[in-house]
Amino acid sequence: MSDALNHLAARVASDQLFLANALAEYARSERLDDMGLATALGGRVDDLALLRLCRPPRCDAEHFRADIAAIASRFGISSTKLTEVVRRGLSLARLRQVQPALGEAGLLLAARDDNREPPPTEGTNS
Amino acid sequence: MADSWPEAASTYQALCNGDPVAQSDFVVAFLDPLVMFLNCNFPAADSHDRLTAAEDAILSVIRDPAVFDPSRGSLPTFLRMAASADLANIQARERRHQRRRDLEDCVELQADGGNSSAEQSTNLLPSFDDPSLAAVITALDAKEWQVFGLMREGERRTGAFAAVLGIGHLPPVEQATEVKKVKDRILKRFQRAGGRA
Repeated sequence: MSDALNHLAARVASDQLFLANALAEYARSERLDDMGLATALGGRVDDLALLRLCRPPRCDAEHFRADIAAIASRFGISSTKLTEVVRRGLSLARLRQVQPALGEAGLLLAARDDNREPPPTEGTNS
Repeated sequence: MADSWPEAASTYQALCNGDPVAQSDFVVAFLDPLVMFLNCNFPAADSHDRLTAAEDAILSVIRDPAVFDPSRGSLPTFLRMAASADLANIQARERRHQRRRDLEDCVELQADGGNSSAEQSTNLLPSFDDPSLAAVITALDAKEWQVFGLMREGERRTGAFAAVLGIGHLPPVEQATEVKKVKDRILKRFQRAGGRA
């Protein structure tokens, strides 16, 4: 695998247009390096860059299965394992997209009613 | 690069059809050859800039396959031009940053008060992001393309332009005249197309 391909595969790790994003999220959640990720997928480390450059499967069930099957078939990996990894990775990626602040700062905010006395208005001083 | 158009066309078509593996195939087919093309044609450029430019060109087509119009030329040609332009933009940006850093180091008014001619400013040269200029860029012949590339790089030496035009044997005055003629012709075409040049 060329350095350029590896570089681009790394560059798109946070781009949801690429499978790299879901794979990165899965690997992060499981604390896996490339070797660990390849093992989880039942594939070869050398194929990871090309796998990362694929488009993520479409969301509806029919297309999801077809896309997973196409990708798994190309790289000689198990559709079941790929499905598990991609589903988790996509969910984590969506969560990160919706609530990036929570992931970054670990800060939770909640709205509540303000029960304090309102400040006195002008001319009502007693 | 997949220079045979049928091969490149099938890769591009798969990309348009939404084949999930097509993005990967597209990168495999075009990235390394594009990097090699930039290495050969812009040897003085920073290697990281060359790689970034090649990646940017590839990503632009993956993100929006419609940026390439098959009726205007081949995909390999489009990618080479897009990558060259992206490289020129990266270099221009870097030069701007460098100038800004220099200015911060030494606050001094420029002799020209910040004004420079259109020809002097590579920033004013067109971007491939502007679709209205694609036809002009595609229509450049091989020598004009090389001249255009030098202009984008900010080259100012007449000798460099004379070399690509094959007129290095002419007297300096004639070289300068001929180089100016070609540069003006290119700039005029971009102006007519609505470019910023």
